[in-house]
Amino acid sequence: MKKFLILLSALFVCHAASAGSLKSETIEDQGLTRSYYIYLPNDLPANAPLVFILHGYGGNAQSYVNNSSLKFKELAEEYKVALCYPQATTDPRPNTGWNVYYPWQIDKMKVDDCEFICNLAKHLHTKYNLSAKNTFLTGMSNGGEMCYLMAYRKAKEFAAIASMAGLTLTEMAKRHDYTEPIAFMEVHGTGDMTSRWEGDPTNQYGWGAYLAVPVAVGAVAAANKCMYQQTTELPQIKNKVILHRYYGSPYGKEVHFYEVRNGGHNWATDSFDSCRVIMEFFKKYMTE
Amino acid sequence: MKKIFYILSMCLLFVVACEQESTNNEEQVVSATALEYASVTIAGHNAVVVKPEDIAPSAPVVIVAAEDLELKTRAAEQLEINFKAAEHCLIGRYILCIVEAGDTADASFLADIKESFPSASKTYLLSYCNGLAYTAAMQMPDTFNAFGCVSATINPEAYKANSFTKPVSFVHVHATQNSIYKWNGVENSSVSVPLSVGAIVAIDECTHYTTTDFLPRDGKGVVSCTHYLGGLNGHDVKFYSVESTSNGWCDAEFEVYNQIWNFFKTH
Repeated sequence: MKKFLILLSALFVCHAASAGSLKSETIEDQGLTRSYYIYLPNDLPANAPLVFILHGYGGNAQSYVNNSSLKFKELAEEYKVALCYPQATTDPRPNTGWNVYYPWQIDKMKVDDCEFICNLAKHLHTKYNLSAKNTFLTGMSNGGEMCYLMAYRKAKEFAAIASMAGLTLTEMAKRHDYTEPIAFMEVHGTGDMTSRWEGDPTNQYGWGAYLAVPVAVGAVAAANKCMYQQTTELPQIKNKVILHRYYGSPYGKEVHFYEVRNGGHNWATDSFDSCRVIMEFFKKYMTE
Repeated sequence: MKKIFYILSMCLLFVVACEQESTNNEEQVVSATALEYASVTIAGHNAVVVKPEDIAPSAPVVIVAAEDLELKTRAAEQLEINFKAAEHCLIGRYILCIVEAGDTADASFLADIKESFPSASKTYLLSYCNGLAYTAAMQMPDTFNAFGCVSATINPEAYKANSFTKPVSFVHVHATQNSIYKWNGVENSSVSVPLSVGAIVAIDECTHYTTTDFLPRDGKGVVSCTHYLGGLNGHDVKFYSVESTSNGWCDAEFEVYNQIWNFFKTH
């Protein structure tokens, strides 16, 4: 009986630890009704940070909310940050996806998702009294591509950005320049067969031409004028993970590049605590 | 019969060409007697101009901005440091101008050095053991046809005061264990090697790269060349990392002069 009570208490504590409020909401933007989930931890202080989490191509916000391997809700309780999981629209293919200039999106997909995320951020800052200067962005795959596009176009709107298995499409680099420094993080598997480490300069694989991942990350480090680097091998769990930390930026913006040796197209949660690493990176850039 | 002779001659020419190609991968020893050396002062800087005796004034010029080679006190003919580098201009058919430059945050004097070769068809800048090529690439990207740096990186002060604004073609040679210009950079002294190269790759908007490893010479470390491609207006970047402690030309490890010149002459 005593054992049963302990077990019950433990279950209650675990549940309570992630028992903030999750709401499904909508907003009107660019003539469309856009949906999103907002997660507000218990006892969230006023002016708390806001973290956007963007799903991948063909995916949806709900699956990210329910994904048990992504510990963002638990981390939100611990770090006292609000989470927003926006839903992408359907693109011309037709699949759910963010408009990042894939070949079938160019000139056909009218929605400007960078504007949408920024408008949504402003809405949430007001509605839930969240911090505009402590707003962060992360996303996986197509959501990672959005991270690069936002770094090009909306760097001032975010305190830091973390891309998981994201890419810089050549089209992004053609259309935009990095005009503002931005604290940036990339996690990428060298064995990722979807978003290839070595890039795809000729669009051989159909996602559009894109930069080699080290070149894409190097462009952000160059925009920040990072001067020095430090290479650290993380304690090995599954795949070897190497952190390339680029620092010494006169703007105080670092770039952290996690190279997951032989890692695939995923959040790399089996090789290191990537969600916590993202939160720790964001925490570095939280201001009063 | 005439046709057979013609085909045979073409085959012979091809074989000779192939042999030349293969020997180009190793340093060629050429007698220095066919070179002319002259000690001069250009724009207030001591310099030594080395050129093949019979070279045309319109030949390309490679300006080597060196730190302090005590050129003042050395007879030009006794130019021991850089002697191999000097010899190579006989193979490459270019004029070499070695300038005592230091490592200043102002590279403007290099434009005056270039102006002292008004007939040159092309002019290249190579900084040796200093970051002047990077500074010049920031301050005067249009002045030289291509830039190169051996065993040095971006000067942090110059980087704080300037930015890369235009694409340039650039070659960099660096030993991984260089104890002066350290690979990861030295705070307030030298920028990290990959970040220095990366700054050029970024401004060139290169999209991808290829990597080639050289067969190591006896007892020497591996030399790896990363070639960044797809840059704006055909600009590219070559980055030679040398497994070595050298803070010099790294010429014991590979045929560095050939590689640099082969890069320059494509621009």
